[in-house]
Amino acid sequence: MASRSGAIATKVAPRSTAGSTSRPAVRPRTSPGALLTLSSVVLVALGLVMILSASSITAFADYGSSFTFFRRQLLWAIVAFAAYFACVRVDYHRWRGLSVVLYVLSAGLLVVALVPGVGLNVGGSARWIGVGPLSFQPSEIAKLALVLVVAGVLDRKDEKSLRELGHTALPVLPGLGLLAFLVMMQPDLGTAIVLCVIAFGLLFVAGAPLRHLVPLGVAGTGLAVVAALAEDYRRARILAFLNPWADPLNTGYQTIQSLIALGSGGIFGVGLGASRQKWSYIPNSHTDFIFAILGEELGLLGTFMVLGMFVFIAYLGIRIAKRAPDRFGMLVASGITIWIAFQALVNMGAVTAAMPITGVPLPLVSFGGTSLLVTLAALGILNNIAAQERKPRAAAKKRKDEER
Amino acid sequence: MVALFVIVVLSFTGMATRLVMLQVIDAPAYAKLAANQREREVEFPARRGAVFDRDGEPLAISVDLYTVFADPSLVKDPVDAAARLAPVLHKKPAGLVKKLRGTWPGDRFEYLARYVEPDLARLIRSLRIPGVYMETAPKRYYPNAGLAAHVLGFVDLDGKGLTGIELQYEKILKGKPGKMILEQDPKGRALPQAEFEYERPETGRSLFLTIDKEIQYYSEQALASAVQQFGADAGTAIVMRPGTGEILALANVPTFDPNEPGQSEAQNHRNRGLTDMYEPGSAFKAVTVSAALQERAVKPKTTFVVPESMQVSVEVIHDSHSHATEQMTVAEIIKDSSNVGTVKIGMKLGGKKLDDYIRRFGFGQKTGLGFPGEVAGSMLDLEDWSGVTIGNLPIGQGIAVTPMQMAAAFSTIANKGVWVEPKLVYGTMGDRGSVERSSAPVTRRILSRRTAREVRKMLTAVVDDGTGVNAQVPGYNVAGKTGTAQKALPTGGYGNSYVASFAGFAPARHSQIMAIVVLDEPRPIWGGHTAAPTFQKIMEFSLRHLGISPSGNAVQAAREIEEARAQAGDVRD
Repeated sequence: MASRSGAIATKVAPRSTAGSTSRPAVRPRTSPGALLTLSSVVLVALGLVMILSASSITAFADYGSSFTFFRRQLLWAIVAFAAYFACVRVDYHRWRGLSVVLYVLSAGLLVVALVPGVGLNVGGSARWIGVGPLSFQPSEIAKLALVLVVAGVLDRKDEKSLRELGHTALPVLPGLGLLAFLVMMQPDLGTAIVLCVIAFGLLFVAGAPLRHLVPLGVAGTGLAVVAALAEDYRRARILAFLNPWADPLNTGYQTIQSLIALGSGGIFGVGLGASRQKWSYIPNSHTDFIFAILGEELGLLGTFMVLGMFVFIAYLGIRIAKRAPDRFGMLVASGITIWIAFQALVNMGAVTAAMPITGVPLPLVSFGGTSLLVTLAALGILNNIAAQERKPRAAAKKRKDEER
Repeated sequence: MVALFVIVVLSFTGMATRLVMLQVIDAPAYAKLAANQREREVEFPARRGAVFDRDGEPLAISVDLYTVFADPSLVKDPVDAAARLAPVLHKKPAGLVKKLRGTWPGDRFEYLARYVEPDLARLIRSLRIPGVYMETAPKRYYPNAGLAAHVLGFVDLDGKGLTGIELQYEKILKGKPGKMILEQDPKGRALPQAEFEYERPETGRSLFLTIDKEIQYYSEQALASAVQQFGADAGTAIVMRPGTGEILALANVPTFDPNEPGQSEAQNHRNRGLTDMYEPGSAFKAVTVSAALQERAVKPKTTFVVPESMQVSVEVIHDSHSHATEQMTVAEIIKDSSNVGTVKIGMKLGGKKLDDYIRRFGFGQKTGLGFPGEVAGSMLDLEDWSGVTIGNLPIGQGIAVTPMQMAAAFSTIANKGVWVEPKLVYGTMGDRGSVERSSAPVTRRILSRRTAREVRKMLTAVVDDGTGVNAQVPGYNVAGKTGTAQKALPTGGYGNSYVASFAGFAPARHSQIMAIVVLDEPRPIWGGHTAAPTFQKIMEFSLRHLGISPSGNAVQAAREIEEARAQAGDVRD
């Protein structure tokens, strides 16, 4: 896999339109792109195994086959990796033009999802759109669209205009606001927060001054808190986060069961497939709480491995962003990295009761086709940026040139 | 960029710390929580040990019956199922259909029948009706119905001993329930990959009683017919081995069927031989004279001037029938059961020594059987004696005893002066036949062999031509004493009702069997008329059943007895 994707990356590189990149004379033995592919494959494979394990009981009880969810996710994984490799081949600059289309599409689909009868209302939230036997989550597309749109906007700002609020927050906020609002209508606070953090992170990376960022951050946090407290079930989740034992059979239930799963896993885990907590103790054990089952079956070794993979992906993403051939590439790479790393953190935070439960999936691992597809597509874009990265020496030279 | 990476590293380090906390430091606590919420202990009741008589005849056994129940959610065709079950269960299909359909939405459990016999259960199983299940339900069964009911007692619906031996030996009979620890999910499904602990139930040990089923049966019959014949309220008969204290029969009237204890009044369940006390009256004179002889206060030939009545403190003591003042030996006093004479013997002995001997004979304390509900009887402490007490106690008044205490006291005389703790349980037997005998009974010498012999001779005279002639068994020498005592009223004082009794043993010289019969309010009131003939029947059967050879020619003996009874004028005591 790694060598193959490397080869693709090599082939893609010459098509680059970035002027200053020169084709590297000797490629590193394992390029960041190849490592990214490898990490993705590892996480998706681990995810598939865990989905099979975690969902087998529910699937058997509800559908008569333990493989129901696994099979569905396997199909999605094939499609998603196809999308990944397609994105690896597509020059990331083309996304600048497509970003607006993607944005409009995702906003439109978010509206459609809210229309009763068209959107699928599952568990009280209108997150899905059903097309025949398939269903997908427009909010996942919205994350990618937001990264691309905001990166496109901020790419055009020079250092001087970045110091003015009118050139940073003002053009970004409406775009973010619309998506966040539509997502909140579903309602899906977790995704809304992820969207806000993506936008905020991009502003930070783009170089917006702290005097703008701090108030924005405070305001955003304030809004999130208000949103969390305004809705009864969310307030209950916050209270349950603060003290899950206050109501162990109701609001604190999921948190406590999740902690029990992680705790009884210990260092080495109870063994693959041997989870007890997946026997209807943990709801959503194959989606948002798959990390708990993973921790129970594979122990600290398993959780650390997943944690390590995300840190590694974040490292690769930041490295790719740093060496991106241009500012747009840097911003897109950063946006994708922030998105995946933050979402992973929020999910693990909920599972370990370090943060309130917000209902976001663990990227690449949790069950969910749209999430997998869009995340892998984004990683494909990241890989393409990696393929076009400057040689470190060239980068240094360019920086010097710019300084002059 | 560096800042971003620092943030990422910091936050993921925080997450890693959290994971170490959860999965390493707090892991044992969470593992325990996990076990607590998943583990379920299922108990399997152990099979209860059986109760046998001394020859291994079953008196109480546990049989596996079946409970038939349905899970309506799994019954596919209730009408068809009901049609097939109805003839087997002897129930109407309509009612079964209702249960098989479930009586409420989500119903997953309905009893169809309880205590179904094993062969019926097999039939039901062969029907293979989906959703219909069976579970064993052990049930205590007393194959001889009311036989030894008061000794055995009975169990509750869960098979736990409530009274009698069933209660006293609950721990031994019960065994050790087996258990299975399994892990289950919130819906109660067992987790297949879970660790599984199983402990086999240990069948309870079986008991061998000292009871002889035949003698028990005969005693019950004889007692029941006596109670009926003499219109008594209740009665008790005890047969025991004087040398070992083994109780061969312990019969009570009224009785009950321990298979259906709910069908009878609670008062019928009392093992009166141990739980009820009465004033022994004249039969107690054997104790008084034993003490006086042992203490050398009197000799058998010592003579007393015995008037018809005598003033003792504020009371006048009367003999049971009028006679002129006469010179009587101690032996004659006992033979004719003279109250005045016995009180004089008691006075000669002295209250302190009398009290001492009464206690040594085991009165005023439990016998050591440990039987549930056994009472100690009741007697005055020496310092609480009034002036009248020495006029009452020697003749068995002002003291309340249990029939078992009297049996033990008479056994002492029969056993050449050694008191032996009565005993109901011979030993226990484990599941695989390992037998453990009961510990040897407590014994204590109260009378010298010589005193015992002297008393025995006097008691033999009582039966030969005294108040106890009706207790004679052809071919055997019988020793014994009659008793007829006014019943104390709950309000104090005495009423017009009597308890009649006869206690004795045979063969007199080398006693093998001791028996006592106590009748509550028979008509006539006299022990010599009512209790003695009943004693005679029970004693005769017991001697023959145990193959104890007669001491003389039975046919000739029988003729002599007829004559003796014809001559004996008065059997009142």
